[in-house]
Amino acid sequence: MSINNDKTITDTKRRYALPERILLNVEKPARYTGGEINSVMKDKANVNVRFAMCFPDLYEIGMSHLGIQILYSMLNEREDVWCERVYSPWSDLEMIMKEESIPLFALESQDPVKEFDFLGITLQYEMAYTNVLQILDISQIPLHAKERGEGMPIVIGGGPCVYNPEPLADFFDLFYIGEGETVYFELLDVYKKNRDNGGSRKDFLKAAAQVEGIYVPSLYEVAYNEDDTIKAFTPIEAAPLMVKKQVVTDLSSAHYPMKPVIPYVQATQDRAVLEIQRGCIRGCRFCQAGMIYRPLRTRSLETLKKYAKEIIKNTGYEELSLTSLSTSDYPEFAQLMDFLVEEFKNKKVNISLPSLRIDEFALDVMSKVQDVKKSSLTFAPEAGTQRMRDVINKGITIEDIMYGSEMAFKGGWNKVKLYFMLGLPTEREEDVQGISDLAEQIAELYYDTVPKEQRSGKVQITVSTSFFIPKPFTPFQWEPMYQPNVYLDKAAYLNDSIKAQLNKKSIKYNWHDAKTSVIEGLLARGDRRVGKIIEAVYKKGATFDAWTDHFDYDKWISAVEEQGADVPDMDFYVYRRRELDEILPWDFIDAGVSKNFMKREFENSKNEKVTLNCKESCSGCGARVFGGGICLTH
Amino acid sequence: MRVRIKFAKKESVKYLGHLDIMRFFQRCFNRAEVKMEYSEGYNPHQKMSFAQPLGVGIISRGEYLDAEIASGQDLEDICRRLNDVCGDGFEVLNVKAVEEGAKKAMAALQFASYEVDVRRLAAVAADLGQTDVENSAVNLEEFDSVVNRAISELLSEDHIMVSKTTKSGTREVDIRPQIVELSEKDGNVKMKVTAGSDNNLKPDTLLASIFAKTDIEYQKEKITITREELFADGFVPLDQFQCE
Repeated sequence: MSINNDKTITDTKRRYALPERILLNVEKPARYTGGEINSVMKDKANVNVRFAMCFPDLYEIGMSHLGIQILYSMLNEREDVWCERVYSPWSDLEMIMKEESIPLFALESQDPVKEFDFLGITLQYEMAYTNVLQILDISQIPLHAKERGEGMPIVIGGGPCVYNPEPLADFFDLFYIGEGETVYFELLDVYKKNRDNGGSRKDFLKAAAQVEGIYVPSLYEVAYNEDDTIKAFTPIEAAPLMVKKQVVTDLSSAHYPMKPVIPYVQATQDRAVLEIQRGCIRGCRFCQAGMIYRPLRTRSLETLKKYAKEIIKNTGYEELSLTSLSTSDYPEFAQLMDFLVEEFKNKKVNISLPSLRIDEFALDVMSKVQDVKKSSLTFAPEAGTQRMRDVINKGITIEDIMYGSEMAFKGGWNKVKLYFMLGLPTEREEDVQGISDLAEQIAELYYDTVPKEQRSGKVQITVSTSFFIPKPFTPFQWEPMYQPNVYLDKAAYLNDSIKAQLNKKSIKYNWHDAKTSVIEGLLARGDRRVGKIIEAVYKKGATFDAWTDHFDYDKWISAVEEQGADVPDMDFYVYRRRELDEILPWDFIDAGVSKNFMKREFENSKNEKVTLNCKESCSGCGARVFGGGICLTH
Repeated sequence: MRVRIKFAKKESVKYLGHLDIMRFFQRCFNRAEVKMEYSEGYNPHQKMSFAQPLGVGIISRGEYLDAEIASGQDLEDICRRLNDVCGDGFEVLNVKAVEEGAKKAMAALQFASYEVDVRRLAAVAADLGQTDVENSAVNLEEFDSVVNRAISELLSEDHIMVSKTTKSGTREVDIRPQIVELSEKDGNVKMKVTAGSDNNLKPDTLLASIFAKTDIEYQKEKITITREELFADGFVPLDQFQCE
């Protein structure tokens, strides 16, 4: 009963960029060979624009990212465009590629990236910046935009880090500020038109600067004061003074990938993803995502039901993850969950629910979709005392946490994860102590709530702390950071305090690397001159800084110190309090959320004054200008 | 009921590892909407097992997996549906019902046959570099006689000791009893060897032993191994062993 006789053993004889002797000698060669189910093949002779879409990290990380899948699917819907994928080669292959001068290639066609019209690089976290240079370098594309000739790809950056693109300004031709669904087609049309008219690279950049949301760094000049702060940020060649963030107003009608590429090699997030809403109503003052994705926009319930069914059918995934910044805030969450539980209970599809606020309903839902014994509850109080939580506008109280924990313990859970930040503005010793006390209180609550005979072992409480980094477009953007040793002192204090608690054996404590945090601060808050530091550290061999065992702090510090007088130091970029009237490197971006709002919120934080969320009351942040989402209904 | 699925793993997916292929088939069953049987427990998984993992870089026209599926489904239709969703890299060759109480494929497995294209080694030997062997004037006659002499020599030995590295360390193994058939013609080595969890001979190991008896340098990346078939006792292909 053999069928499909047209299939033969040597199917499509894919031509690989790498010879077999290399593929058989690197870890997980299938990272580099493409051909996955739902990947898009086109005839390059029949397309006008070739777009290489890059996530500058390992394949398994990049393939877990929804944004790339959205843009890949959207761009490939256009017949005249072929969008392909590119990821960072792991160190074993990078070494070989450099030695043998093999240029980086796209997975689908296996053609060198340098032959493409565009190289789009998503900037999801600052610690990937050295990987960006690695991508350019092994693609054999000049690192500096100004050195790229007519035949070279236009290098365009996108993603959350472009809310301060300046440290990467030298390396990119363009940045796309905001959500990719809006002006990409317009940009590609401008590109085609310029090429048809025989226009140069420079002509295209000038024309692209007129597309809303597109920032062309080479069309802006920066002047500095004696004290190294920015004196003036001036557009030239008719580029706009402010670049306006792009926002999808109606999420239900926005493009969504119904047939995402299914990796053969197991991705870090190996599941179907359903983005239920974008943006957040909460307004936590440390949270950049909560500000830059404003306003909150939801996908309609009917759209989500249809997408969920279709995506599971098309992919065969055994897990569907709902994604958003705050899942519980989805207005029809109960109806959505009822539908999903009913639809998938016999299909053996698990539902995962990150970013859930723990209350009675959430616990009921979680007990339906998760194994209570194995799963853990997650709270993100972010700070240990109510005063500190008021400063950061984290609208969660001790009562919420204790009530949620009590119900969870009664429901059979005995694992709790708690997330906090250390080094927040105005933080005092008692705030750090508060973290330890909160963990102890929860442990005691467990033993008070669950009778001895019903306990399945000890309660397991995991406390994790990260170090606060004041990000652009947050009310704390003017705040300084501490030196790594100060952070470590705080972590050590907390560790000692937890070790002194009665239930110390039930509490585990992890903290982030302080040195990574200050470098992340440098990259998040730097200006154009920081590009020299990034280049210097890359030349010292730094890549994969987001990977703890690859990050080399000493390389970074020596790269900072080696710069001449024209590049300021860590004190200037990281450890300094900035003035409210100072021109910040990212001030040219119009994110909707206004600087006045951020100043107001900064003031409120000093007064420990809570600001209501968007559902309760409009705080006049400025995002209303986009004319969408929650701003229309509240 | 248990079904045995015979499939081919082709060129374009040769770099996948065994775990990748397992995960791939799970999702194929889901996409093809095959009604599967699941294990008990809170995280149920499909009941399936493979006859023998296939190494990275090896292609095959004789791979097997056993799966437990809900009864009452048309097996020909399942075969067609799986082919609709498995892409170009895989092909489901047949789906057969396994007799009640029969051994699983992995337990029934005794032998495997391979065909190995070694013409590029001939090209190297003739100092032609890595050029396209299909179109180059490599003297395969001389190559054949060298390789065949090595094979005869090898097979005439009572013991062929090779060192085998496992988790517990390196030890010497006699692979002579594991060789059932071995021949070479026109740059193609054909072999039938023992297979299975405790008596497995990798084609690569055997090839290295052959070429060690020649002046030709054995280079793993210059050969193409195709697994042809997996057999149960009596050299019965697994899809004809205790299958209906």
